[in-house]
Amino acid sequence: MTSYMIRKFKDKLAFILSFLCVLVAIIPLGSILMEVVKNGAPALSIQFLTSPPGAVGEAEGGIASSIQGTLILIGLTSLIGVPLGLMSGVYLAEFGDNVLGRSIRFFNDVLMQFPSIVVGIFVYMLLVLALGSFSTIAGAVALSIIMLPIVARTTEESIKLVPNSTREAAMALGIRRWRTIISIVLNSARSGIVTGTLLSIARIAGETAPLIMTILGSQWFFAGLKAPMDALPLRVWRLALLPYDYAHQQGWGAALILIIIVLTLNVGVRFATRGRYTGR
Amino acid sequence: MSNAQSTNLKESAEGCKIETENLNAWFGKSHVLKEISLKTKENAITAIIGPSGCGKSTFIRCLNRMHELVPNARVSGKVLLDGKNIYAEGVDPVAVRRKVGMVFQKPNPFPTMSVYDNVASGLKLTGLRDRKKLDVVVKKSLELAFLWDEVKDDLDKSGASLSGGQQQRLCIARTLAVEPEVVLMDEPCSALDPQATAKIEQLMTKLEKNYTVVIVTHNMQQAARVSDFTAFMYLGEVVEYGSTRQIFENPKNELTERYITGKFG
Amino acid sequence: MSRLLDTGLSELSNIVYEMAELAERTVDTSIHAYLEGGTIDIQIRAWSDALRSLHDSLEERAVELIARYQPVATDLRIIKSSMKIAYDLSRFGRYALDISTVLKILDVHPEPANGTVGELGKKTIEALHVAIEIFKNRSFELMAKLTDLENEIDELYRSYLRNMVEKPSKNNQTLISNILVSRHLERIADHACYIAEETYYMVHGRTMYVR
Repeated sequence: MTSYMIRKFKDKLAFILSFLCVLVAIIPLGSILMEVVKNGAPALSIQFLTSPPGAVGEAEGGIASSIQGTLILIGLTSLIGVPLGLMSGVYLAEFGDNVLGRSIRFFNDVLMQFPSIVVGIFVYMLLVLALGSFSTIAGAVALSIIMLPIVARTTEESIKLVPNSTREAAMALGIRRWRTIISIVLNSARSGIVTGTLLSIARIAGETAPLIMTILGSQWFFAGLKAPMDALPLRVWRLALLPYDYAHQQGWGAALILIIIVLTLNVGVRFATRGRYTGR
Repeated sequence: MSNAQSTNLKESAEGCKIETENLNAWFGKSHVLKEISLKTKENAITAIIGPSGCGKSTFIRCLNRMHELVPNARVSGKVLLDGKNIYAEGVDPVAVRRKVGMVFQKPNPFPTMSVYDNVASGLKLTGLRDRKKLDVVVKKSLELAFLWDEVKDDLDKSGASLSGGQQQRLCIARTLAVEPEVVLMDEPCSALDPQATAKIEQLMTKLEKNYTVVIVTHNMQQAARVSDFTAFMYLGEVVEYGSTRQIFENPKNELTERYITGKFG
Repeated sequence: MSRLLDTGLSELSNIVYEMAELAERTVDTSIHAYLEGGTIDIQIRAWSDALRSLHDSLEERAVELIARYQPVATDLRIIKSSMKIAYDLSRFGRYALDISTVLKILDVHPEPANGTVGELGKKTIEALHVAIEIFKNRSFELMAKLTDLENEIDELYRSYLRNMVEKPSKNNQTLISNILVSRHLERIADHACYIAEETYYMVHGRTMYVR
């Protein structure tokens, strides 16, 4: 074989190998999705989606309260976590080149790695015991503790990607520093920040352990910030542990709904925050 | 280490727009500008030339208080705009930057904004909301920057979709929109091709009727072509300063002569 | 450090030096021939043509340097002055030719060397030598001497013309040829001064007038 043919062969080989690696990476994702859809789709029905769980052992009942609970949790958590995370990210990126900034960044990274069950226990001590009951607010606080470092980190990284020449251009026009940050820097970093936030939402939407310690779960719809509440991950877990077939099928259905919610959120938010020009 | 000034400039102190008095600047411990005292004439183009590292960019950044934005940067001495020291106690640097605009070496239009929004940004982001007024200013600025004809049909297209030369003219329009009195340019053509450069040089000679222009350039022929006065800087000092004609035909300082005839280094 | 322009500049300088030597020789020869006799017009013509063609090639080279290298300061002055000096030197060839032509056309006897024209001729040759000396060696201390010579030549020329008006010579041919030649000599002296002035400008960037 000529050396040209050998090189061509090596080139093709490398290409095929990397392609195979991609496939291998996607296979678990693909197969999970397929399983969930296959097993969960049959469980879906209007009744399933609109009625609260029935008594244990009964085949009727649905996951409406869980859906509501998950949505409420996502909303409340974002309300707490996104602004705090954004501001921390902005501080770290724009003003954090000092000892204080470095310490904050360090603790932020540590917090990101915390086992979520530990966060759950912490909030349990702080809010559940103090307030006297498992509560929605405790769940939101726990999830926002998990969300905050992710949003802060990705915001910081996205802002750092905005080239300094953009900031300089704005300052040279006589635009104040805070205005530059809000209207120009954040705008330019928009897509990165949105991605980071959506990633963190996807993460917290599926967290189960902290929910066990904070919202406990319930059979009923939302009953106030200070009362326990249900959520999809909890429901999936509970249903999976029951020895009934119907329960398992409902569990698959709940999992499917959870995935659909996260996906829809992702697409929806991207669509809503698209600029006409996302920059180079 | 004195600063040589041409006598005709001393005489025309009245026409002086922006002048420095014993200006020094540091980056941390590094003393990059040494006792610079320079007068620039109003409605004229002054060019600053010199080898890399001589402090010319630092110098013009001191003229609009951009130098202090770098951590560990320090300034001493005075910079007088129309006779008033911009570094005096209580002077708002943001107000200074509205009067003294700057165009940078690499064109930097705001990436997420349209052409219109880019030009209007200096005004919009400081409070002006009246759409009609903004329209007028945007058109005027784009015309001044020789860009209006090329973008007038689609002001909403992304600023970043223009060519390099157009982007630089967009940045110039953006700077002019806030109606500064002085326009500083830091090697504005070094990232551009010869045709774009020629357009911008033409623009500069039109601008000087109404603005005071100070340009830093490492291209001596450009300084010779466009400027009325030229200052040669070396190692943080002004070695010679005079009318461009005099500097390029008959420089008084031997160092200047060696630099402009290419005998340096 | 040698620049691309330097090769061109030294070429210019070589041409001008060559022209200076040739011009000196040409003028010397033609004046001596007028004063002492001799048929040298063919020789002078050849030298004059050579001077002209050297001037042409210098101009071409100078323009090329300007177009290519955008010279400034000293370089620019050197090029400009070289062009001017070369022109003046080529004029010498022309005047020398004119003098030798007068001899040929009018077929006169040579002038006595102690006559006015002879005196004029000697002083002109001296002025030419001084100017070329100033040019070659930048001997600016000689500028004053050149001024004196130029004044003397002017004075001689004018007084000669006045004398001729008052007491014209009996021989028409002699009269006409002397007047023509003295005029050429006066012009040669003028151009010699231009050369000295231009050399001063080239080196110092300022003008100092000799005349």
